[in-house]
Amino acid sequence: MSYDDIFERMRRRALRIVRDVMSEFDEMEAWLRSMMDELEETIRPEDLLDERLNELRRGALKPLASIYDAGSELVITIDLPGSDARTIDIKVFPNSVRVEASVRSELVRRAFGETYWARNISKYEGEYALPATVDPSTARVSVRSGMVVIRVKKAAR
Amino acid sequence: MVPRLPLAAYEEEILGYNFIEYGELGRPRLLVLGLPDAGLVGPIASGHLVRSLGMQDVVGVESYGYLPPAALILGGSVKYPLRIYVKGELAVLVTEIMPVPTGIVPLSIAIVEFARKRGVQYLVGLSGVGNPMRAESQPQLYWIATTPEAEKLASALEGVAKRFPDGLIVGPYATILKESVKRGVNTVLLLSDSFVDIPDPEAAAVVVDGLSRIAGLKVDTTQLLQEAETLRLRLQGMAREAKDALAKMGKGYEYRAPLIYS
Repeated sequence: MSYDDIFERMRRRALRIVRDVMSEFDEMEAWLRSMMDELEETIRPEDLLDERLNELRRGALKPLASIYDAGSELVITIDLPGSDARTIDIKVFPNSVRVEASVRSELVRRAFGETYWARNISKYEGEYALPATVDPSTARVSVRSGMVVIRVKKAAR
Repeated sequence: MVPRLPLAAYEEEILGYNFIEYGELGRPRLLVLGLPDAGLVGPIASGHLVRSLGMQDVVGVESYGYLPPAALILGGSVKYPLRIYVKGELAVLVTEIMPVPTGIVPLSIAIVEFARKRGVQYLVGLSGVGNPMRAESQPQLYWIATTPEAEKLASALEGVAKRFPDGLIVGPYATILKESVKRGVNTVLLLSDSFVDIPDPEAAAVVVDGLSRIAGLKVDTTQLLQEAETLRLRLQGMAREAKDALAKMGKGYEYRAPLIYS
């Protein structure tokens, strides 16, 4: 083996080490950048704060809802835990559903304890856009343990 | 006396997460995970275990990149939002707050690596599998195991749970399963049919019953069911945060068939 070969092998090895180190730095930089991007852009804490403050100012929580397209009909589940069944008011429109209900104060106390921001909570209020136009006259509503399930047929085209 | 956070006896950093041990974790046989996923089944079930078994928190998990700068005040004491509780051979990871979406994968890997390093014999994940028709059906229990030893543990569920059918899983537990296979960690994932984005204490009771069987525990779930409405109201905010984070990490992929069936 000539000196040239040995030198060439050393040169290649040195290049490989430099390349590995550079790629480690690149990976670390990309990782740090993605972390910063996530904190600044994805979480959008300002939206979270505004949304929660709006609800609490009015004392009205927007209920969690889940809408499932079951082919010929939509199944809309709206969670109203602790609601007073006599006060549940549901309105089904062709393109949306609106719900209102009072929440029992003892359940608010049990759920949130002495938390200062929860003292005003007294009702649920929510309106949900539907993914398909429905025929409101076909709506069937059932309520069980504070959960409302609405089945409504899609409007004929 | 002003309650203080105990000084860390031991601290270890894994992928941007610090595991701060301020009590005696020992070498638990089972580490149960209550990470937020469909129906918040994990957080509800893990919270119930901690309360009903009177467990003690010994490890806090912190990240100044992936978690908001939040501290939890419980009974006048300052706590980490992610904590590991222990009692005897059982440890439970409780999650109060969702990491940012890019922090979910590193957290899942860090948990598996922490368990491996600490010699935990079994990881048991508690979760929900979002079923759009959940309102009209009772929750069914499923299991997935990563090693033959984990399968042996899951065999105690015969007759009450089904092996998870072919399909896709997206979320923190998907990473935990893959990393467990890669690192040879015995992991059993217990999943119950649950609401997709509404907290589901009934589904949580089903996974707690499953855990009781495989861990040889007696955990009463009556209170969990009695307090279902209170829990659903309390966890409304967390459910919205979890839905947002899981949607951003591609939860939608779960609702389609895999390319190849076995």
